[in-house]
Order: sequence, then structure tokens, then C-alpha cells
Amino acid sequence: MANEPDVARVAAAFNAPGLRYRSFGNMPVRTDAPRREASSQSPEVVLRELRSTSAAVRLAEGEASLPPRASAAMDVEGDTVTFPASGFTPAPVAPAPAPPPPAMAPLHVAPTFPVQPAVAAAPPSAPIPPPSFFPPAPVTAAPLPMPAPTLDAGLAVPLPLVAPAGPAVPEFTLLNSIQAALESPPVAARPTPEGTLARLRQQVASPAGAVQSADPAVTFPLGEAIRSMAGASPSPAPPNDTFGAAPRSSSPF
Amino acid sequence: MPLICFASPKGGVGKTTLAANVADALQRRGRRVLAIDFDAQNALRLHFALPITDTSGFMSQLPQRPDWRTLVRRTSSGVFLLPHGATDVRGALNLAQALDREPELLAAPMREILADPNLVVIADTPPGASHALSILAPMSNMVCAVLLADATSAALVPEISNGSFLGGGTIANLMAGRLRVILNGIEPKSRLSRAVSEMLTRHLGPRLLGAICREEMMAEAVAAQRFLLDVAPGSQAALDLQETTTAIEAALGAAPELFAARGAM
Repeated sequence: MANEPDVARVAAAFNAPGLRYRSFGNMPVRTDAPRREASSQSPEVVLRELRSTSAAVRLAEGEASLPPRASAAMDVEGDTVTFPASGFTPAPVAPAPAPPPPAMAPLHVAPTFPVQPAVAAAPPSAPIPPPSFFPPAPVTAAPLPMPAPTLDAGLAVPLPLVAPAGPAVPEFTLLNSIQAALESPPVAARPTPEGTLARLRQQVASPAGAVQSADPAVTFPLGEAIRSMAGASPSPAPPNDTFGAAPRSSSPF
Repeated sequence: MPLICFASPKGGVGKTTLAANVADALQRRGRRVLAIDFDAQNALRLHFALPITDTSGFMSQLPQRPDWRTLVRRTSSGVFLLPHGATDVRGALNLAQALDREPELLAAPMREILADPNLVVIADTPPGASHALSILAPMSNMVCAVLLADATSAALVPEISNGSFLGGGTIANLMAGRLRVILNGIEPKSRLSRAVSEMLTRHLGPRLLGAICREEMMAEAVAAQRFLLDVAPGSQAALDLQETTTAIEAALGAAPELFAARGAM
């Protein structure tokens, strides 16, 4: 434990009160130190404490007997930095150049999503929206007249509206969060006359009809497909076998 | 009255997306629909264009016994929504413990909700077995298990067949009859996807309620927080969605009262 001043400086620099020491049986020099404030752990304060602690250690060396070691001394101490009862003089340390860094950044940080500039350029005449993290989307549709909704006439509890009945487009979309704009919407696949389920059933019912279709039906069981993928069949080896060969050959197991 | 649960033993199969789009499709057909999010991901609200900053919800407050009526939202699509609400690890654990200790905490408000005979309730449940699903399954008219057309989903077919992810013993046996499967994300050009689809079609028979073709527009509709029937009504996936909705309506039997105007209550 010859580097206590260095450790203390590092602890002070990181402003980490959680750094703790064990006394390992040595006399606790300073056991009743109050819990320090975060701002008091600047390097200057720590150095000042180190100097006073070293003086106390020198005084303690002059005493003939040491107090019996309490069993609690082996416990993890709080923020108290305990130094061994050996004479040591803190090495001269240059004064800390900067004030202590601020406390650690808060864990809960409000998410900041980039917004598109076009949304921010709202007309000044638009009504001021309630304080919202996201800019409102332009109104694209007129509000539909809707009576007060109730789930049960007997209960007659008015249900809250998600949006004030005007905008059909949400004020925030997931696309905005990823800054993706669909310049040209992709063309959806043209549907077949029958649905996917009907086509599947047709393929299963009549394999001959499936052969005539554009997409040939797979008629072997799933287990064969999985075995084929795993390389159990004599089919061409998958490319990852090349990578798997080297570890197997050089492995001591 | 009808309660349709979207569930799956596997995550990431599109339960929430399908639940939202089926709710929208049912609403377009004149049904009065309430979508309830039971998944702690709290993602169903995004499909209904709720602001991402809106984190209040029903399930996250369930240990405090909230009045569900005050938490129902009327979305711009006309579908009513009960969001889950944002929660953290401690909140999720508290909710699980509360439901384990007192299932009536959820069962009682669900009975109140289902007392409305003209309301179709769509429940989006978390993946795998959950307290919510075990409470909802006996109340539901149909449990739609969503699977992908891939090998890992196919490996879960035994759990689908015996209904073990819905519960154990008698409940599982009872619920197995109400279980239907929707195959999602079928890629016709993929060899493995076709193999899995054919295997499941052959194995499930009439229990396969619907098959949804993989469609890029579906993902983009989610990103735009809109519905597939708005973004690409003529796409293959939209056709599959409509057929699936028709199959759900047919399986529900007697149709509840229809509402003529979209969004009118």
C-alpha cells in the first residue's frame, strides 16, 4: 500500500466515493470521518486531508501502545480512507490544475432524437402545441365528426382521445427517429389471385399442380432440409466449413 | 364480447404487428375493437401512432388496481387501445408477483371489458408462457399462435399442438381446441420458407388460420406507424391479412352488431 496518495488522487479525480479500502489489521487512523460531500473531493481537499493525516500518523507513532484492533476494522469501510500506521510522508504533488469535474452524468438522460428541419419550420400562425418533445406533424385531414365514445352505455365513461381529432398523421413516427424518408415508396408485390394460404393448401393437396407453378413446391420433409443445412448430407459443404476446419485441427480437445 | 389472443411460444414472430393490423382490419369492417397490450415491451401503442413519450398504461399500473376505463385511448384509426405502459425490471417483477398471488387482479377487469357484447377485444400477449396468457386463455374465444416460416418456429409445433405454452393439464387440453395458427413472413422465393410452410400446412390442417406473405411494405408501414391496409392495400400481404381477418370472423361464429361508419361509436 505504498501508493495510497496516488490512489487517493485517482479516487478524487474520478470523484468516486465508492472506492474503499481494507485496513488489513492496521490501526485505523481516521475512522470517524464524516461522509464527504461530492464537492469536497477535489484534489486540493484530498491533499489537505493527506497532510493532516500524515501528521496524525506521526503523532500516533510516538505512542507506546496501540489500541486493540477491533474486529470491525476488517469490515469494508465507507468513504474513509485508512492509511497504515507506518510513517510516511506524502510525496510532493503539484496542485491540481483544474476544479473538480462535475458529478457523473445523470443516468436518465432525456432522449434526443434528431428532427427534420422541415418540421421545425412551422408557420408562425399555427397554434402553439403543448409542450412536446417532438414537433407536431402537419395536419393533412379534416377532423371527422365523432360522437363521444363510450365502451359501454351503462358505464358511460368518456374515453380520452389520443390526438385532438384533426391530424390523421401522428406527430412523431418511427421513420423520423431514424431520419429515414421514403423518397419513392417501394412498389408492393402484385398479389396473386388467391392468397398465400390458399396457394399453400393447393400445393400440399396437389403436388402436380405445384410443379406447373412458377415457384416449384418443396416436397421433401423439413428434417431433410435441416439436415442438408447442417451438412449431414453429401451436398456441397457450406462455406463456413472452411472456417470451422482450422480451429478443429488445432484444438487440443 | 369475443376475445382473441395473439400469442406465440416464440418471440419476434410478428404478434404485435399482426394484432394491430387485424384490429384495424376488423375496425374497417365495422366492428368496435379494443386492443389491449399485455406485453411489457409496450410496443402496441406505436402501431396506433401514440406518441413515444406517452408511457402510461394499464398493465404497468395493475398492482395499483387502476380503473381501466380511464386508461382506454381512442386512436386515430378508430380502434380503442389499452396500452401496457412503460415498466422497468422492478415493475415487471412486482406485476408478475401480483398476478401470481392474485389472478383476479386481471381477471376482474377483463370480465368487465368482455361484458360488452358488441366489443371485439384483441389481446397482444408476451412471447411464451405468461401470467397474462394463462389468465386470458380460458376467457378467450380464440388463441392465434403466430409462427414464422422458419425452422425454429417449426420446432415449436409440438408445443402448439398440445397447447403446453397456454398452461398445463386440463387447461391446455381445453385450450388446444381454441388454438389457431397464423403463419407469418412467408417468403415464397425462399426454399426453406416454402418447406416449412408446406410442412405446417400439412401438419396443422384446418388449425392453420392464415398465412401472411412477407412484404417489405409491412415493415415500412410499421416504421411509419400506419397500417398495412393504409399503406399498401393492394399488396399480397394486405390480401393475406384480409383473408386472415375473414377467417377470424368466420371462426368467431355469430357476428356481433356491426357499425356502419368507420370510427363511429
